[in-house]
Amino acid sequence: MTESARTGEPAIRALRQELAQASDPQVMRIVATVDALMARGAADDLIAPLRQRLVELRPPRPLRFARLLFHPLDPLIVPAPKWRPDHLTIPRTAVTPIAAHVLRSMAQAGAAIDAGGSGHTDAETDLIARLGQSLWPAAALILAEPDVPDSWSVTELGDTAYRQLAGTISALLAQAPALDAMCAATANGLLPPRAEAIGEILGRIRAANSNALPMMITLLLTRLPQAAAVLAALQTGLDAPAVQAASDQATDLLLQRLEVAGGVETRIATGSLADSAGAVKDIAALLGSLEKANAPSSRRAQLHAVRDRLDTGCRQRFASELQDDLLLPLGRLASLPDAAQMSALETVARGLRVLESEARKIGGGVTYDLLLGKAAAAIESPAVQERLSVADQARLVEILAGSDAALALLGPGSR
Amino acid sequence: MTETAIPLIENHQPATFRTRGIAAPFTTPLLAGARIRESSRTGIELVVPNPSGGRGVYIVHWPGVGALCKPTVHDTMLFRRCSALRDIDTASIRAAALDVALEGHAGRDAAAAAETSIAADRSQRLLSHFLLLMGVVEQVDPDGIKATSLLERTPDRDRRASAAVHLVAKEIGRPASYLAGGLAAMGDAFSPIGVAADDQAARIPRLILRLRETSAAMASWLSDGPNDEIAGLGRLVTAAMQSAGDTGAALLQATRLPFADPVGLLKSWCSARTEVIARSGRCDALLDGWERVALLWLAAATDATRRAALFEMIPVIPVLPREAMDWDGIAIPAAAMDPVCRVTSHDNTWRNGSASFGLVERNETLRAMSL
Repeated sequence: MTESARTGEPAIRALRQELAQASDPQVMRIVATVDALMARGAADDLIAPLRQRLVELRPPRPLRFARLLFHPLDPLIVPAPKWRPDHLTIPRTAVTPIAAHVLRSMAQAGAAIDAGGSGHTDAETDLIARLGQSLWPAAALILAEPDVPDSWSVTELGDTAYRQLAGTISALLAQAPALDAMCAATANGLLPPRAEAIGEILGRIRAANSNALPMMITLLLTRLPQAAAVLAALQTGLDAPAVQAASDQATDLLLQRLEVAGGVETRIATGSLADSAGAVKDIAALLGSLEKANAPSSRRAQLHAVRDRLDTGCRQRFASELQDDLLLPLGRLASLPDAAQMSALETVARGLRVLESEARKIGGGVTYDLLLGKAAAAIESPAVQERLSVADQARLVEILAGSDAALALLGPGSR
Repeated sequence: MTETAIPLIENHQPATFRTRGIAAPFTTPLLAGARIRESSRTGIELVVPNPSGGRGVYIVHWPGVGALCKPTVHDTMLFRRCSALRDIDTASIRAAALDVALEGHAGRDAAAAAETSIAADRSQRLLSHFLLLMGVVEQVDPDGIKATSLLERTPDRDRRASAAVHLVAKEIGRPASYLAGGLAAMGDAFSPIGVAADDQAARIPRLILRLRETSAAMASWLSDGPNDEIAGLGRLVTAAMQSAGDTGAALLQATRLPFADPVGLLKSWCSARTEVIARSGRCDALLDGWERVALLWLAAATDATRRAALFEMIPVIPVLPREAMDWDGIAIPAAAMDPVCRVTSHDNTWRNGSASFGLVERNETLRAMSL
C-alpha cells in the first residue's frame, strides 16, 4: 500500500468512498483506465476495494506478460494467505516475480511476446494460444533451472518454496500447448477429448514432475469436465495407481473449492448469463463424474450439498436477472426500442433461457416454468404492448416461452 | 425425437433439381440444410438431412417436422409462405425468405438486410431490363451512343429503343409488345447473373466472389492452424468450395454469352422461352445452398468456433443432381454429385437444449449476412 493510502488523507478516503459506490459500467471504465497506466502505484491501491466487484463483472483485462504466462494455470492461482506449500495451488504473490524472471531471461524473445500482447485483452483466446505456443515451453525451460531469481525475495516465501513452485509450474507450462491443442480439437465440445492425447500429457507430466500430476488433472477437469470419463478409463493401465491418486487429489481440490463459502455462488453470480450457464454445466458435469465413482456416503453428502447450493444459486441469478435486466428495462421503455436496445433485451432473454436450460437439469423446473410464464405474460401485457411492436413482442415471447406462444401472440393463422 | 415416426430414406441421390429441392434459410438448428420441394400429396415438403450426419434424408411435410424438432416462428412463417407459392424455384423461395425476414421474424438485423436485398434486387432487375433493351438498340443501330447505366436513360433513348424493338418485331414477325414483355421477363430472370459482361454487383457474381474469398480464408487458416483430423475435413470442404466457385464462374460466363447478341436472344425467347428461362436459373441452381456453407465459416470468429463450423458445414454442402451433367456448355466435376464426406454424431446435444438458443441467434446472423 502506498504512503498516501496508508495515511488515509481525507481526499483519498472520499475518493475511495465514491469508487465503492460507483455503478458497474463506471467500475469497468475506471479499472480499464488504471489497467492502461504504465505506472499504477497509488491508482492500483485505490481500486483494490473494487477487486471483488471485478470478480463479479469479469471485464476483459489487458494481456500483460504475467497474465499471458499464467493464463493456462489461472484455475490454480489462489490469494497468498490461502496458499500452503503442500497445496496443489500457486500463490498470487508468485506471479509477478516469476513473470519478471521469465521476461528478463527470455530477453528479446520475451520482449517480442510482451509486445505481441500489448493493446490486447485476455478475452482474445486465439491470440493467447498463438503467443503461448512460443512463451510457455520457453518459460518451462527457464523455470526448470534451480537458480532462485532476485525478484523472488519480495514474496517472502523462501528459496525452497520457489524451487518447488518453479518445478511444478515448469512441468505444467511445458504441457500447456498440448493441453490447449487438445481442448481446441474438441471443437467447442463437439468431440470428446482423445484418450491417447490425455494419456500422453499425463505421462509427460509424470516423467517431468510427479507433484504436478494432480495439478494438471485439476486444469484438465476445469477446462474439459468430460475428460473425467477418460481419466477413469486411464486408471486401468500401468500408471493406474499414480493417475488414481492424482485424480483423487484433483477432485478433492475441485470439490473443496466448490465447498468454500461462495465457491459455487460466485461462479453462478458472475460474468454474463452465458458464463453462468457454462459454469453450471461444468460444475454439474464435475459433480456427475464424482457421483459415478462409487463414492462413499460422506462424499455423496458433500456432493448433494454442493448440488443444492448450485440449484439455489441458479434460481437466484435467474430471478434477479429476469427482474433487473429484462422486466425493469422493458418497463422503463419510453418508446419503441431502437435496434441496439432490442438486441440487448433479446440477449438477456436468450441468456436466461440458456441458464435455465442448464439449471433445470439440477432442479427447479417448476420455478423456471413459472417465472418464464410470468415474463411472457408481462411482455404480452397492455403496458408493454404500447412500447413494443408485435414482431418485437413475438421475438421475446418466442425466446422466453417458445414458438407456439409467439405464434399465438401473432394471432389467428399464425399457428 | 421419434425417428420411428418418420422413415429415413437411406439412399437419397436426387436425379433432378426438382427432386433435390431448394435450399431454404431455416433458423431452427435441426433444419440446417433442409430443402423445400413440390409434393403431389401436400403441396410442398421438406427434405431434411439425417440429423446424425449419416446417410439418408427425411422427407417430411410440415406437421411431421414437429417429430424432428420445434421449428422457430421464422421457419413456420417461411414454410407457410412457401406453401402458397405457385412455383418452387430459387427465386420464389428467396423472395419468400426475404419477406419473412423483413417482417422481423429473424430479428432487426436480418430485417434491415432483407430491406437492402429487396431494394438491390429491384434495382438489378431494372438495370438488367434496361441493358438488354439498350443491347437491342445498339445492335440495330451500332453507331448510336452506348448506355451502360439507368442514369443514362433519356426520352430520346426511350424513343430509339421503341423504334429498335419495332424494327426487330417486324423482322421476327412478332408484336413489339410481345418482345417488350420478353425483354422485361428476361431482365427479371437474368438479373441475379448481371447482364453487363463485367457486372460484379449482381448477386451471383457476388456469391461466387464470396465462395472464392471464403475458400481462400479457409486455406490460409488451414496452412497456419490445425494439424489434426479437423484439418483433413477442412481441406475437403475448402476444395469443394473452390470447385463450386470455379464451376459457378465458368457457368456464369457461359450464361452471359447470349448477351453479346441481344437480338438473337430475343429470337430464342420467341422460339424457346422455357429453355431461355431455364438457362437463366442454372447458376442459381448450381450454387443453391452454398451461401450457407460459406456463411457458417464467415460467422465463426475464433479458432474454436471455426473448428465447430467445419462440422456444421459438411452435412449442408450441396450435392448436385445428375441432371446437371446434361447441361451443355459447362463441365460439371463428377465429385460434385457425391457428398464431400460424412461426419456422424451420436447425439444432438450440441444443437439442442441450451445450445439451441445460441445457434438460432447465429442462424439469424447468417440471414443478416446473406446476399
